[in-house]
Amino acid sequence: MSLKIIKAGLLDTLQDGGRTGYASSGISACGFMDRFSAYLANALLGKELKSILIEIHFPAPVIEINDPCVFCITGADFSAELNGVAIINGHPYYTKGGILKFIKPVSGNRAYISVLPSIMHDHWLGSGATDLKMGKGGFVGRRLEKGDVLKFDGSLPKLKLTEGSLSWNALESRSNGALRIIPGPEWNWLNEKGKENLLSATWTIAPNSDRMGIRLSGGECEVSERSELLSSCVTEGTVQLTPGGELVVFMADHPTTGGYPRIASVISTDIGRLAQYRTGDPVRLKLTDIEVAEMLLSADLNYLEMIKHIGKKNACLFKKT
Amino acid sequence: MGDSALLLSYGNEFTEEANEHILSIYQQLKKDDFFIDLVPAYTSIGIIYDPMAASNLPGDGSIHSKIKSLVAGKLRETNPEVNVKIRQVRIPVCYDDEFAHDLSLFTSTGLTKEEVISLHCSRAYKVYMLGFIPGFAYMGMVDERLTLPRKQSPRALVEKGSVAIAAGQTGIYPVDSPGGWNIIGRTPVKLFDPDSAQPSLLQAGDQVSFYPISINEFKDH
Repeated sequence: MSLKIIKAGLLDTLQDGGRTGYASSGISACGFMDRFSAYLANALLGKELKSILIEIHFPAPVIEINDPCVFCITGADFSAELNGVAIINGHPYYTKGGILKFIKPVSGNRAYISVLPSIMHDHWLGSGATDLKMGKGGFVGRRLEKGDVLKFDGSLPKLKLTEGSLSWNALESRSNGALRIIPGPEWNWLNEKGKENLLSATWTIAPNSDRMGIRLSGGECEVSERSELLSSCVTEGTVQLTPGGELVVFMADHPTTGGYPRIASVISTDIGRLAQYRTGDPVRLKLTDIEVAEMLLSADLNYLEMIKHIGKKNACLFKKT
Repeated sequence: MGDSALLLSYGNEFTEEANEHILSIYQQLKKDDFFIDLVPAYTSIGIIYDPMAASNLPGDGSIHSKIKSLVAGKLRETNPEVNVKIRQVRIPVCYDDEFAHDLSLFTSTGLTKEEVISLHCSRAYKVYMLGFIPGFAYMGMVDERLTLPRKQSPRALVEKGSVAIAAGQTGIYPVDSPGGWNIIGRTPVKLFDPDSAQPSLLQAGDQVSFYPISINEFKDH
């Protein structure tokens, strides 16, 4: 009862909501890069939002589905096909089995595949998220490779299966505008000109971006404060200004502390959006305030809980393939 | 610090007193399970919370104002009578030439190798914080005769267990890692055990002292 990796992708890992409670020991949280999309994939199957699933990039894996299961893909559109039939993001599908492929990258950078039954995986310190640096959690602490078998945890529960499309829109609606930030602890290390440059520049996603941090280059920004920052806490979304003028936005695999000025934080709602940008994409930054950030996050989470509730009750009409 | 974390800071200048305050706040806040993570550092502490859990806290304000009230309330509860037990940890170090890649940098100032070892072992160091990589403890302060800055060009690989000094502090690399500190020896002790319920041997607030061992004792450990 399993999935098998027929061909490995660029970086496929098992991730969940992340490993928390150990940051004071220097252990990174890891977990989903685009939380909203990952939560949505789980919610559509009625699963807890932070449940384990597969995060993929492009080139994507080719996956052989060996047993009946229900799956749902969200996040980037990589033109998914099952047995040659197009699979739409944001819809659960039932299948007896077959080959799942991803044909071309249409939009976005990370996609999420959630599955029922759940996938068995390694737990480390209370989480199934893969910590690539430490080689723990997920699928023996590493990216998925050709020949890897992901076993199902039990068998598929009895489901009401019906033909037809979903009667409600579970597609992600993400804003297309600028990335919203709020001032960070060292915001005032920038003078007025620095702040202006930060917000007026068109930044570009740099090629050395990864799960640890997304780098933005091309803008001109420097701090007017000359002192060195004592090592201090950084979180997901923290925007560091490095001496070279590049911005680093810390993402899922970020280290727990850092030594460069934290000039801003990307709001939680927009961290996942940032995870979908690709190398070379232009990005603008827009200043907002924490009350707006909190409101947007609440709205997202309430929406997802509602979807999960519907998914659980099996009111989902699964597309059959 | 974003919509899911608070930063409590005593400023950007290191003092032992500020670090003591931070560690006491850390001990106080970690008593209940409310916060997702607490990240104590030299003079600051990151308090990471779940905004949805925080929104259920009593009161009418925004989530972040409720969290600030919660933290302020918990800090008021601090009982000065309660003495947090300070853990004393003794760590064996082999200062043999095979491991002490940078010890000669310290003897170039006129100290003998024995004096360097003696100075390193002569006092207990406080763990100010953990960071950089899992299990890496920043400890200080070393004797001023052992003060050297970080290397201009960090090494691509510092071997696991390497004991090092930089910028007045001493530290131990828990795993093979790139590193810019000056290496004076190696410990056979495991600083980080991923299979343990508490994987990091050291925690902020511990008192650590070193003692020298021979290369045979190192191999037998």
